[in-house]
Amino acid sequence: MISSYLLLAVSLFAIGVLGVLVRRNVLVVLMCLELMLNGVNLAAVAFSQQLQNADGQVLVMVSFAIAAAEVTVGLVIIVLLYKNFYATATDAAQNLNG
Amino acid sequence: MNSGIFTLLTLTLPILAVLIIYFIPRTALKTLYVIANVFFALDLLLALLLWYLYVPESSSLQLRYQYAWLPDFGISFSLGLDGLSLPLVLLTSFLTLLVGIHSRSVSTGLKGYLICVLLLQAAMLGAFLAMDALIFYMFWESMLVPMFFLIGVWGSSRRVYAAMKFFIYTAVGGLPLLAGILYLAYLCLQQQNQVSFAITDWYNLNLSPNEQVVLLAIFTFAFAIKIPAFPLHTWLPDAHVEAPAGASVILAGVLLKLGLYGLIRFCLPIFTEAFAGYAWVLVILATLGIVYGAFMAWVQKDMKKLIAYSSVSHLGFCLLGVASLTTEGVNGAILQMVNHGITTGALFFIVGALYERYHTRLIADYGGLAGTLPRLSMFTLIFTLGAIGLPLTNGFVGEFLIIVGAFEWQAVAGLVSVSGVILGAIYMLSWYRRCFYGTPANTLAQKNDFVLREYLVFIPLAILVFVLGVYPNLILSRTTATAESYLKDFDRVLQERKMP
Amino acid sequence: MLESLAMPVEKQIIAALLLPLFSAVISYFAFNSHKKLHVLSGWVASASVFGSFILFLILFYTLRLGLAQEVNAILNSDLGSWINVGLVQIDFMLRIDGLSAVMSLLVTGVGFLIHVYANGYMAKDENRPRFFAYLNLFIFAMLILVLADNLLLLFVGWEGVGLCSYLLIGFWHKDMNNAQAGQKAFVVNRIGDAGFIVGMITLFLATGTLSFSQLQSLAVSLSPELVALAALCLFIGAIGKSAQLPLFVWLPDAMAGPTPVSALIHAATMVTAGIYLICRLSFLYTLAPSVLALIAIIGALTAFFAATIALVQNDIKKVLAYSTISQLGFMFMALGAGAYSNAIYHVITHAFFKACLFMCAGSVINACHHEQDMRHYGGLWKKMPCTFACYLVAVLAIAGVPWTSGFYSKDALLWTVFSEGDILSFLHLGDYSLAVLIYYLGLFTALLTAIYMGRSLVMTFFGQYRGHGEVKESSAVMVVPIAILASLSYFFASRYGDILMELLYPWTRSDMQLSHHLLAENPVFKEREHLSMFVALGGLALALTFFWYLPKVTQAVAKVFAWPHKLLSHKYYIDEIYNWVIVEPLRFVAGALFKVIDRALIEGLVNGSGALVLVLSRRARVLQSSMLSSNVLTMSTALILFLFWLLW
Repeated sequence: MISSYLLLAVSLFAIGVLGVLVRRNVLVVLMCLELMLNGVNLAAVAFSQQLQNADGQVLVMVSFAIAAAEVTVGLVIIVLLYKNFYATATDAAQNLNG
Repeated sequence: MNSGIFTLLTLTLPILAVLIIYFIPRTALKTLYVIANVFFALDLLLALLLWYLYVPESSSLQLRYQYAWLPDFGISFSLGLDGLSLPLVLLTSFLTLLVGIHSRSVSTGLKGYLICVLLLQAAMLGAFLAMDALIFYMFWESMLVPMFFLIGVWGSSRRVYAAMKFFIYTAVGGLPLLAGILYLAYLCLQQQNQVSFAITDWYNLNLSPNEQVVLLAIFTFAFAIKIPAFPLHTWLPDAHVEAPAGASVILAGVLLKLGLYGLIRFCLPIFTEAFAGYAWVLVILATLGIVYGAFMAWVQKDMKKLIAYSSVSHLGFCLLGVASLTTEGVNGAILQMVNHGITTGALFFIVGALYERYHTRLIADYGGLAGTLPRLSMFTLIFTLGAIGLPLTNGFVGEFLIIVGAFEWQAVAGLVSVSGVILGAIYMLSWYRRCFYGTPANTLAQKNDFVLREYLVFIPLAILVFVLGVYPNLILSRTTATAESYLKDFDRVLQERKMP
Repeated sequence: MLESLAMPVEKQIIAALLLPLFSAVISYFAFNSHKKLHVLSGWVASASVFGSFILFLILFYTLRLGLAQEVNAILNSDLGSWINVGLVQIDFMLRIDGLSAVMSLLVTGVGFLIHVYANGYMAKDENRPRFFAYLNLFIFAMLILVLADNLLLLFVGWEGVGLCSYLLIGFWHKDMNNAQAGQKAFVVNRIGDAGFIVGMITLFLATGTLSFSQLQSLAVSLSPELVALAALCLFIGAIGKSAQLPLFVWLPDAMAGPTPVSALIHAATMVTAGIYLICRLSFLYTLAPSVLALIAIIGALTAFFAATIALVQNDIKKVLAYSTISQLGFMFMALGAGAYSNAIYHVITHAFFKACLFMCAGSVINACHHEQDMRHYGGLWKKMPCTFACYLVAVLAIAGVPWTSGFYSKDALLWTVFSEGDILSFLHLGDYSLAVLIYYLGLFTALLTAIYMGRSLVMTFFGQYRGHGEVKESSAVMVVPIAILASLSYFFASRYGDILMELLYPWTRSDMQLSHHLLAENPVFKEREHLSMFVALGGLALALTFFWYLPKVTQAVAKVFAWPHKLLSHKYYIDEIYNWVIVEPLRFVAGALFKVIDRALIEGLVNGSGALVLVLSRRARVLQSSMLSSNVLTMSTALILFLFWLLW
């Protein structure tokens, strides 16, 4: 029963990972990052429901808060990136190339 | 403790000098020169005081100073002297004073030069005086930095390459050394329930044969680079050629002795069985070094390279003396270390004097200097004769003792070392003839013979050449007891080996 | 009685030894500064050697008094300990016994005469103080050599004389040839010294001592192989120092030095050091008969070869140089026969007449404006009568004409080889024992000696003057010493021969009686003596005939035998052979080693490791891409792998 939730969670996570790896626009990468987080949250809630334990839901609450903070900082960085390199591609900044 | 304070002072005086010199403006050349030399002279006086306070008959460490620095790790700042380090400490302070007097000839950056020399002196003295392995290592590695700058900044055309090569080559040896030291400390913890880096505590360690062999290999590798033993010698010609005269003197006179010093201090007493078993490797390398260095010196076109290779040959003799594991050999080696410092240091000063006048190091550019520079030629002849081991000069006694030791080890080793005597005469006299005899080349304008500062440098060296030749007991009286104590275990071990 | 004189005796010995050293130092440092003081240096130097001579004379008389009481009396003096390490306990110990008394008197006596002579010879040289400093230093080193009581101290003197020889041969160092000659002398001597060191250490490790008296008592307890090995190695040292086959090549080149140097060092004193060494260690050599045989063979061969080369040389100093080598060969022959005291006898007489010959040659060279080729001499007996007279006497002495000192010593020498050479008689070639063969070779060489010396006499002093310029007799300061030596060449043996043999008694084999009166009754001896006389006079007569009366015949003969003549005048090409076989290959090997091992192999490894690091780091640089996605890919891959590892 829980497996369908987990399946959904894993799919969300996988899509998120793939997106982070493949997409070239940093905003989309950030969105995929959120997808990954949502996948994990879903999995936590599912387990919480199955094990009749509130810990999973508490985890989700904390995760939301952290995610919000993280997205804020991430968006600021993207804005600065755009300001300095005039692009939102992931390979815009190559100064640290070896 | 009350006499150990002098040991500490000897070490801290150069550092104090650095602090003072740092605040003197770099344009006040005379002040810099005078103050540096005052400190060098004070240091020499302190070294002489240590000499006077040392009791020759006792073989234990004397004039000790100890400060528990990091007691939880067993690292204490402990200094001490024995018959091995005493002559070398005196040699260091003597040669550094001469380098200081000679530094008048440094044209630019005298302040930096003097600071580097002072730091180098502190590091060398520290390495000789340290009785704690980690402190020894600290000073060992810290010698590299001032020397790197001396070669790299005040040197000649390929100085950067030479400085890098010197630094990296020696550091490569130093890193396994650190591993070895840490391992020994760990063993100390295991066997004596207390971590200690004090060398005297390590004398009592029980090492399995495998451990001994591996550690001996590591330690010998590190020290062999410094000696410099045969295949690991190639940093020396480049370093010497590119270094300024004073740095060459310190390099040849003192730095090279640290390799043998480490060998005797660490490898002989701690890895006794392995050393007895593998001494033959060192004997082979030493004899190869003697002959190889001599042959290389013969075909060199650059004077400094010639003397550098002659150092390889001479220190091959010293290594042979140590590896022969006989009283005569080890004492001869210590004496010859001091002798080599004096004669080769003097020769590098001579080459420096020639370079100052003629700005070339190629032998082909020279000729007929005995007519134009008679005083310089006379001094050069004295040091050349010391280098080839003419009796009544200092080189002879050390060489003779080492050859006796080599023959005691094995006849073949003795025969090869005797051939080194012939080869030495060949390349040194050939060099002397090409530079000083004949008619002067057209390109050599008449230059001045010695000035006062050069007399001040060369006269003490020349006097020492003869004094040590006639009265070597000056050094030998101090070294005999210590050498005996290092070798006393070997008799037992070698006896056990002979019995199947 | 010796004890009551002990204190002054010690100080006397030390004073006699150190006097020349002080004079050398003063000459070099004080007199070098002002030109006016240059003259003083010569006189101070001569005076100090004379002072040493007087002191040694006094010591000699003291010794004789002691010897009258006991046969093995010696005078000792200890200057303090030198090396004290483990087994090596060596002192600066000096000893005067018969042998060293005789040698030290010779060194200082002949040395003094040569110093006086050099005052005249070097009068116009501006480096006089340096010259006399080196000359005095040489006397000092030679005295250490003969006075040493142990082998290591002897080695100190041994190398010391080698050094002074180097300095003095290359004295006029502006000419590179002289410097090269000096270097050659030192290096060839060093090769011999290597043998010396090996022999010395062999003895040392076997007996634990290097003192002569202790070695003498311990020698019999050593194994014969060891004794033979040590004796052989020490003999190699003697070969180098005394210019025997194959290490004689330095001596002819050494004639590049000033003539007083040739006279003192390369005729009278330094080259005799090898003979002195073997006499000093006679107790060792008596126990090694095979080595003695080798010594005799090498001595005889050297004598012969050198004499053949001397026959065709045109430079007067080269003739005398090869003559010296030849005479040294004679001395080694005597040593090989066990006749140690005979060899020393010949050393002394040879010193007199050879120094005289060299000094006469120097006188002639000086007078003829530095011409050394005898083809440009001639008719000098009128222009330089004193020199001629002395040269004549010395030639008679070296040829072994009866009643000269040379006759007595050479005769005794050949006689001992012939009669007492039972030491050598264990070797036979056919019906003849080795001793007899060597004797005949020696006799033939004596004939050659008379011939080439006669030739030099004729070419230099007889006939017409073939050179240029004005020639006049040398100053008194040069002629008087020559005259003294000439008279010694004549009178010495008859007047002092017996005293000499008395002093050298411990080195005389008990069955050899060299007092001429006792020997004269032996018919075999008389026969041999007549043969020697005939050889000497006949040789001189031959020389006179071929080189004075019939020079054209000689030249024709020389043209017929052009090829042997060329071989001889180029000294059998031995220098070229040595160069080709030893020196050049070694140099090539050294150069090859340098290029192949040092530069290519080791430097290749060292620089290669640096280059390797660079190459690897360039490859590794690729990992450092600044692309976000590749970093994230790496991180996620690692994470997944980690998870796998964790869960499995």
